[in-house]
Amino acid sequence: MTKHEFLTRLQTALSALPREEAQKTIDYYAEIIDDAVEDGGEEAAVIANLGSIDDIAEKIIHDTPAREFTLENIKKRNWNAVTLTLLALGSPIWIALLLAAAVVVFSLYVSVWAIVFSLFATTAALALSGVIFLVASPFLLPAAALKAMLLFGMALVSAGAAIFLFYLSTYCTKQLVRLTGFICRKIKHFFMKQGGASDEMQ
Amino acid sequence: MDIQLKRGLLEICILTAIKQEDSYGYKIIKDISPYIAISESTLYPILKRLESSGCITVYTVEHNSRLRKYYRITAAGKEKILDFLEDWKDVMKAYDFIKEETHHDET
Repeated sequence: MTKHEFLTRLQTALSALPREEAQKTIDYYAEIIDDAVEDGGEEAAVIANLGSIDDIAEKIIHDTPAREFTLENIKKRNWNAVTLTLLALGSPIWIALLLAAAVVVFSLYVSVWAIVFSLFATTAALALSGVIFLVASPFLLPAAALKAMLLFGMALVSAGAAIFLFYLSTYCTKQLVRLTGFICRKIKHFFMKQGGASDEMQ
Repeated sequence: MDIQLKRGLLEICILTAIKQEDSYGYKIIKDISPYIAISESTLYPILKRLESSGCITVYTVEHNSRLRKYYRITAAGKEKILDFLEDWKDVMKAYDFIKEETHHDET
């Protein structure tokens, strides 16, 4: 490969980068090649020694912070007249569809919370019935002892169920909160990736 | 070698290479290579990082009718070298300990 070929291919591989960054990289490699050749190396050998262009480009892109990408990709996207017109004409349709989709997703989310809420409500109901059974049972005592014992047993069962359900409800709430956080982060990452590359590694 | 460790070492080696006198990419690689493996592609991102963290400055010089970028160390860069040498004393202590214990296991 000649120096010119190498640099041209490298430039293509770096087209996602802001023009200034790409140019600096090209300059760097041009300088390295020139110095190596001046030092007695043979051009083709020096270039072969640099490694594959894809690897080089990947390393450079990987090391560039994401915000430099998103700005650049927005500028570079070819907003030609046809695309813009189609977008504008179709807007009643796709805006409505987007809204509908957003509402569906939101109502799904709300209904999951509703389930959690009803779990808590059931817990409260069980606890309350437990208390009522407990309080009522002694009143039956002298006359219907068996019924009193039954009522007392039911009070214990209700209390137990209420306690169990309470732990279940709090567990579900925690999981739902974690899930919400997870989804929010995924959405954020999705929008960042659209810009082109992952964040700079430390 | 561990990637993070190597990167840290390379940064200090590069700073050291330009400490006595300003240098340029190809020469830096030549000077460091006997001591630690470094490629052109590895050098570039590290130079960028050192520049953005204020440890080096860059300037251009004309050489044989082409432009060459020279790198100069800053006070912060020199500080970084000294910090490394200090930190490494602790590393050596830990190393001695580990070596001693390993040696005991073997005897």
